[in-house]
Amino acid sequence: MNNLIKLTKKHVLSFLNYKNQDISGFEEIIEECILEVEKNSQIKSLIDKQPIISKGDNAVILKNGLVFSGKAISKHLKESDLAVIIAVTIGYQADKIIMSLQKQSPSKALVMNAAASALAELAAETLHKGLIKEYGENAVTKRFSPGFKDFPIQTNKDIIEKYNLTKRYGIMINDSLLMSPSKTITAITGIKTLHS
Amino acid sequence: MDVRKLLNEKVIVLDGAMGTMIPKDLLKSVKAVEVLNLTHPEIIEDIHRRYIKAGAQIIYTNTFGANIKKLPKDYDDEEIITAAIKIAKKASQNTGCLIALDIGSIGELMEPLGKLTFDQAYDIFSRQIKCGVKNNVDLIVLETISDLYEMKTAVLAAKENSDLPIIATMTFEQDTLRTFMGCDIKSMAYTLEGLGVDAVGINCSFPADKLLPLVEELLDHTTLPVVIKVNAGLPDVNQGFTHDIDSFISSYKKFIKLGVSIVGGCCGTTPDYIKELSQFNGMKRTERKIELPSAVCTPSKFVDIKKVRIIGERLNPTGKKAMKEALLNNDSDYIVNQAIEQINAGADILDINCGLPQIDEKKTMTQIVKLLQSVTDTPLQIDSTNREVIEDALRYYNGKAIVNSVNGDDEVLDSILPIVKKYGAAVIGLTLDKDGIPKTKEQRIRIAEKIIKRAKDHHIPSRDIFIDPLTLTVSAEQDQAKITLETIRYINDVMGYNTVLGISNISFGLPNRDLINSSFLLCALNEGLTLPIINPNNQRNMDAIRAFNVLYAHDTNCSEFISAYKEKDVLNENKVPKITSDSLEYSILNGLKKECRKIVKNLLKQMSPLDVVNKHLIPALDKVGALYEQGVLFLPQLIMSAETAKVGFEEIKSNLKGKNASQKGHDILLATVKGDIHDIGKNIVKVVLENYGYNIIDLGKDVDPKIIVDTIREKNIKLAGLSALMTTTAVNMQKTVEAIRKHNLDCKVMVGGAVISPEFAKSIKADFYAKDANQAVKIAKQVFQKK
Repeated sequence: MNNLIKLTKKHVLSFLNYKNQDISGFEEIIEECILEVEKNSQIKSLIDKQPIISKGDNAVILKNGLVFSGKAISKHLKESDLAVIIAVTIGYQADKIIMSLQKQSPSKALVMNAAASALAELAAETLHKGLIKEYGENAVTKRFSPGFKDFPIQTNKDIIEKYNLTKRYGIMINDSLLMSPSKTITAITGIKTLHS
Repeated sequence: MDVRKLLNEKVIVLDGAMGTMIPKDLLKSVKAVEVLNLTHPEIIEDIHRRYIKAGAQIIYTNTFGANIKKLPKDYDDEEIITAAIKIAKKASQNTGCLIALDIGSIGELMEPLGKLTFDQAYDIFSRQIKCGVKNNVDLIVLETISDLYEMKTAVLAAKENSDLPIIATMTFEQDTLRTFMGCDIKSMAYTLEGLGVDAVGINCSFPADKLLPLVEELLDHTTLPVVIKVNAGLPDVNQGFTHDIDSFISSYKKFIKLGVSIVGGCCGTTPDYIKELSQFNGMKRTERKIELPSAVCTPSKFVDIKKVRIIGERLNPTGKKAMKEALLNNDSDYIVNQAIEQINAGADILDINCGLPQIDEKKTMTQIVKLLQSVTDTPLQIDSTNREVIEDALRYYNGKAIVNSVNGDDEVLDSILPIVKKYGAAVIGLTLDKDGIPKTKEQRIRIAEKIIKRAKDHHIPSRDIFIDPLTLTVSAEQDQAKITLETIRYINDVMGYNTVLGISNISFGLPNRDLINSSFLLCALNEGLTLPIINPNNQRNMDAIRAFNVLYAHDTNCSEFISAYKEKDVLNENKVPKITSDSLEYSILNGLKKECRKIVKNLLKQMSPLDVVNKHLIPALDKVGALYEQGVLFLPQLIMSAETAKVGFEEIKSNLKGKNASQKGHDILLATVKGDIHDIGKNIVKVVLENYGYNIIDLGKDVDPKIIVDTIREKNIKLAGLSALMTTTAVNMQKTVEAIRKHNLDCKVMVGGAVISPEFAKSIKADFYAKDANQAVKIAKQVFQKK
């Protein structure tokens, strides 16, 4: 997937709370970070479409046994008959570089962290756009991630186990429900297929 | 049955996948596959039986994830392991099939990226292993691990809690031919062979037909039996595998022909695969002619000593005041900078010495090893004479290190060599003994021979023994330089061992030391020296080595030489961009570190250090802060300015040294709370506060409230800053504040982090909410003004 996406300065700046300040002289660092994060990332992604077999106000059940609980995700998938599970990671190298940079240059670490976040986000966005292309804009909901509103962050654990993401991509989750690599995104998108 | 002998003699067939064989409906309904050992033993037993019938000579117990971290909370790891072994034994009764206790990854990230410590991981593995030993398994299998540190922990747990044979296999990625954690196969092979496992290999990973390059590389880098047990193709999203037995078997045929001798299947394989593999059962193992080069490594950097490799000497307090101070003050920034500077200058290995009478050498050495392996992948050399220091450092080191050093003294050899062997390190032997440094080449060689013999008695291979013929000061004993050089020649040419030599001793007491050092270095390289211990920041040393590598054709096509000097020609002094303003403020605002240092140096000639700080540095920082608040600067610029100002402060600090005029700032404690491993924000606050003269006691990340409370009490801290990034860890921020309050400590608390709001800060009774580093400075000024 690395070849399909191109990270730009704009993407990175959007993760740095940039508000049109003059950054001449700083741009080189941003460019460097973009190159380095692209070179050292291995983007891995999973996308699985699952029929929704049961819907309520507080939970949604998928055919493969995954249960999404919470009012927010139930509302989000209300019109959908397919739930798409998206998981993206850019790998451990970016985390190692950020950790090392923090001890050498916190400013560069900050930019590198933003570049890595932007890359993961861009990868997730690319997959989402692929769905829109396939099903049409009106049929596809926005991405909704565990931890947002009342959609339990514990759902990440279920997703990792269901798709064996530890063996497959090296994604792990600890008892604080923190995922590693740190630039890992999971999200759910609803699809209303034509026949429904 | 002698299992070790069996592993070494013939081709052995292992079993295939467990999860793949379990009915899908059942798999959906259980919380973990291992739970089936208790609820559906007959199904597990049947799977074992089918693999044995198909021809497996070793079966893996259904215990891959049976550890206290992975199992559902209401299950006991020991009960599940005991049941699993019982089932495997029943299935294999009267078949001659051996039972391997299967141990997979803990499933949680270890330090330094994660929060699981080496000792915690060790305890988890030890529980599993002890249970396996109690139930009489035949061997231990450690598999599907992608972090070499985790694998090392598991191997040590296995070796220290049993004497069973160990098979260790890791899982690799097709794109990078490394593990997810970045470990390469050579580093895996060297580290695990060093640690004394009985067979090493690859499991899970990617389809067998793409595996050949990895298999070849592994076969070339280990003398151990090699294991291949990979997946049946690639999994689809629903864990289905691209079944193609023919391609799988034809790949395995090639592997066995090349010398692989232990084979089986991982995810997606079934008894049908094992039945096909059983045609290789009992075949004679293909003989391999392997000559392993001397090498050291970290997981992602393998440094072979086929040519000159530079050992950086700067992390040593002997004769280095700044390093001495850094060790005394626990100044990790200085140590990291010294390490990075040496690596950038060309060091291949870093020597670490922290032998100072005033500090706890064991604790400090381990801290530095852990610190450096979180920042760099350059291999380390543990420089100490204390057995305990060396042992702890080797235990927590990730990879294969060098021990510097032993000598010809029996007591030293008896004490240090067993731990060199245990941890699979390389070792430097100094050609001296109780009587001191011999004056003749022959005597030094005799000591070298003694060291080599004793190392071999401990089964340390020749490739892991490096001899140091020792440098004496030429101004005091002029004939000795030649003796050292002749000794190098003999050890290199006649004995066939790598030599190590600290160079800079040669020139003590002489003017133009650099000239003598680099000339002696060149002479030594010419005699065959492969491991010079030098200051790589010294241009002359590096010039000598680079030129030597060109002249002796070690630098193919002169490429390293050209890349080192090409830029130098282009970048002469005139082309360095000129400073457009000589104001300190300009350099700080624009992140110009060199210029900042230069200007501070100039200012120090004109005014007192305190005036430089109060009249120039602090106003510049205040202006940066104000511009940031106005939205003129954005966050990375603010931090870059802070880093630049730090360079100015360092200059002032070094100017103050010896003048007894340093004014110690107020202490501020900073920590990321328990459970949270995000520390970018906290580190930014640290840099900025340091610039305002505060002394930061940085407890790091994932810090237990008790440690924070104890530190506040011990150091009488008046302001503590706590950071949290996740909603799930913000609760630990509250617990920490409560703990501080409960102990009635006279310490203000400021909190911040992505998920923290002013309201939350108030609700947990923190004294201040700091939205950013700038705000933290204001809070600090307010707190300490009052005092």
